[in-house]
Formats: sequence, structure tokens, C-alpha cells
Amino acid sequence: MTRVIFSFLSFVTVFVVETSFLSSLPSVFSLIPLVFAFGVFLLQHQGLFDGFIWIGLYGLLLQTFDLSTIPFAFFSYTIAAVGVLFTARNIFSNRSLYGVVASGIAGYFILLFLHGCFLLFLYLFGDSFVSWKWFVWDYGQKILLFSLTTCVLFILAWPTRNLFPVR
Amino acid sequence: MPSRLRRTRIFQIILITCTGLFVFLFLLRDVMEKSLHFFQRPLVSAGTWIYSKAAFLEDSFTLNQELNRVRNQLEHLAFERVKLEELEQENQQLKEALNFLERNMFASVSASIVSRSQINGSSTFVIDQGSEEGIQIGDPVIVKDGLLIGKVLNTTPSSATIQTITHPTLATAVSVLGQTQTIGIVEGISERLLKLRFIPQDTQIAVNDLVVTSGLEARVPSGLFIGLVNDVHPEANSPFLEAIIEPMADVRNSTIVHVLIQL
Repeated sequence: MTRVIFSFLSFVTVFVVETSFLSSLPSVFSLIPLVFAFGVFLLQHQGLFDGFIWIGLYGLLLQTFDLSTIPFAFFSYTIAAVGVLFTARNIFSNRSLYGVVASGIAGYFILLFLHGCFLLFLYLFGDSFVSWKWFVWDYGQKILLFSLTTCVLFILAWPTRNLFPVR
Repeated sequence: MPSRLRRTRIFQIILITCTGLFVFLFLLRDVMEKSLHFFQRPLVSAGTWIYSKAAFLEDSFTLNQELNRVRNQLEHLAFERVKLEELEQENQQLKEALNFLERNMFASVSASIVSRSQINGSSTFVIDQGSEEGIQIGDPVIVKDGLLIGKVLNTTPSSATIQTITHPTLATAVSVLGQTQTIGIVEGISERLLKLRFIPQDTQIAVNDLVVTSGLEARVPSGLFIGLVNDVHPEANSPFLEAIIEPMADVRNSTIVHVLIQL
């Protein structure tokens, strides 16, 4: 029970840091996907189901506060979390930096596909302007930043290993 | 860990999370939001401070070009200001002549930004005031002296989500400063640009003209500044013109905004 509460409070802290501090930073730094990186790290490297919950909760809060351009963000991020879980357990099961980054990128490609489908629908049947260039550029930056953030988490993993024990 | 025990553990985690979510979303959301705002405000201020310093460094590389552009805008705005002052005097004289009773239909609520979306251009953000303060969906949001930056998308008792004017799904009826007729609809097209569409062919609009809200929408008063015209050209396969507008306000540089509420 204590561990679950600690996990929830950690999630809230990381979410607040990402949406309040990081998103206010200039240029590319505002796109650092801290919660997603933590979630994938917990799920793939630490083998904790908390990571799955973190990613799903992240989508839910983004949808609740309308901070995402993807509609049904909870649904999209949960599907991405399922993808990360599947690739972490069946394809990139090696708990190395490579495994974590690869699982996370798989999750991002699922998000990219779902978001792309929505934009395509808007482009074909709606009247809103759709910038495919910005869409691809956004996701390209996020994937790169996710990889860099994961590297930093790896460096910090050893000193903080007792906070979230590896299973 | 045995498979059955693992499944039981996962079920427990999901159950506790769902219970926690229910409590948060339906029972304690207001309290938890107000508690989080206390931590979010300084984080947003810190991030915005870093943004303003970095923007200064970024601008220093394109200083000459920016300087020339601003000089041209300044000259144009100086002429506009003279015309505006003449119109204000004339308006005041007419009001006195007609014994015109001016009613202020709008009040403003000041709020701090507590979180932003992680999309290029920060197209939505959350503030720490909500429906308890009289804020309603569709209310315009301004910074400084009447620069429109967005509209209220959603509200809770203690917070509100604001959609910026650069968001691709937000449309605002506008006119050119000095004119009263709505000339078109402005929509976001990228991080820092807007597109003004459905401009009738006979409309007098030129580069560096000031674009303001036209007052056509019920909750949005007329005269809120939006931006400057950068380019005007005919719309493809259409009898209308379209213009590219550069917004005057940069929401990334702001931590305090004002929501205009109807009295």
C-alpha cells in the first residue's frame, strides 16, 4: 500500500514538473516527455506494472485538462502503453538502454499512428488547417528527446535503484 | 513472483488507481487542484523566466533584421495612432452630443498560468481561476492592454483551460482597426501565425494593418488587438482574399492573464 501511494505521488510530481516547468521552457526543451520516459523505464527496465499505469494516467490527465491535441488521449496513451508492455515482454526484453529506448519508440509510433489517423480524418472531412510538417517535426523531436531522457534516467538508475526495486 | 500472486497484485494496483481516480475526478478534484496550483505557479514562473532569457539570446542573432522590421511597423503604427486619436475625439464629442450612456458590460478576472500543453506554440494552457470566479466557456483571455491570446475552452470550479488563438480549431471573427464590419475569420496555422480567411475582395486591407476582434461573437467584445497583417493574397479556388496575421502577444512570455467575463 505504501509503495502504491509513493508511486502515485511520484507520478503527480513528475507530471507537475513536466506540464508546469518543462512545458514553459524555450524551444525544444518544452517537449521533453518526462512522464512517458519514466513510465517506459519503470515498465521495461524495472519490470514494474506501475509504468503502464503512469502512461495511462498521463493520457487521462492530458485529456481531463485538454492539454493534448489528440482526442481521447486516455485511449491513445493506454494503447501505446499496451504496445510498450508487449514489446518490453516479447521483443525488446533485454533490460538494457537499447531495450528501453526501443520499447519507448514503439509506443511513440503507436501514438503517431493514432494521432495521424485523427489528423487525416480532419484533413479529409473537416475544414481545419492541418500541418503535416509540424506533426512529423513534433514527433521527431519528442522521440529524440525521449531517447536522451532515457539515457539520463539510466545514469540515475543505479543510485535510485531502491526507490523502485527491479523485479 | 508466482503468476497468480502477480495477477492479484496487478488487480490491486488497478483497483486502487481507479478508486483514487474516482476520488480525484469527482470528489476531491477542487481541493487537489488548489493544492497543486501552489506548486505549479512557481514552476511555470521559473520556466517562463528561462524562456524570456533564451528568447533575448535568440533575438540577438537576428537583431538587424528584426530592428528594420520593427522600425517599419513603428512608422505605420504612428500614423494609425494619429488617426485613432482623431477618431476618439470625434467619438467623445458625438457621445456628449447624444448624451450617450456608456455601459461597461465586461469585468476582468486575473489568473496565473499553472500548466501548458507540450505542443509547439503551447496551444492550450490551464489557469488557476475557474467557474467560481464567473469564468465561462467562450470567454476571451487577454494579456497587457487588450491583446487577445485565446478563449476559455473548459472550466472547473477552480481552474480553466484556455485555447490560444494559434490553435488550429479556434476561430475568431475580426475586422481591421478603424472599420466596424467583420471582414473575416482568423484561425491558427502554426506556432506563431494566423490565417485570416473569407475576406471579401473589396475589403481595404494591407500589410501592417492592425487586426482586432469585430464584436460579432456574443462573449467577445470588439477592439481586442490580435495582430498585424504580414501578407495578403487571393485564396486558391475561391472568390475571397486571405491574409497571414502575426499575433502581437506571445503567451509563452506570460505567467499572468486576464479573463473578460460578462456582468
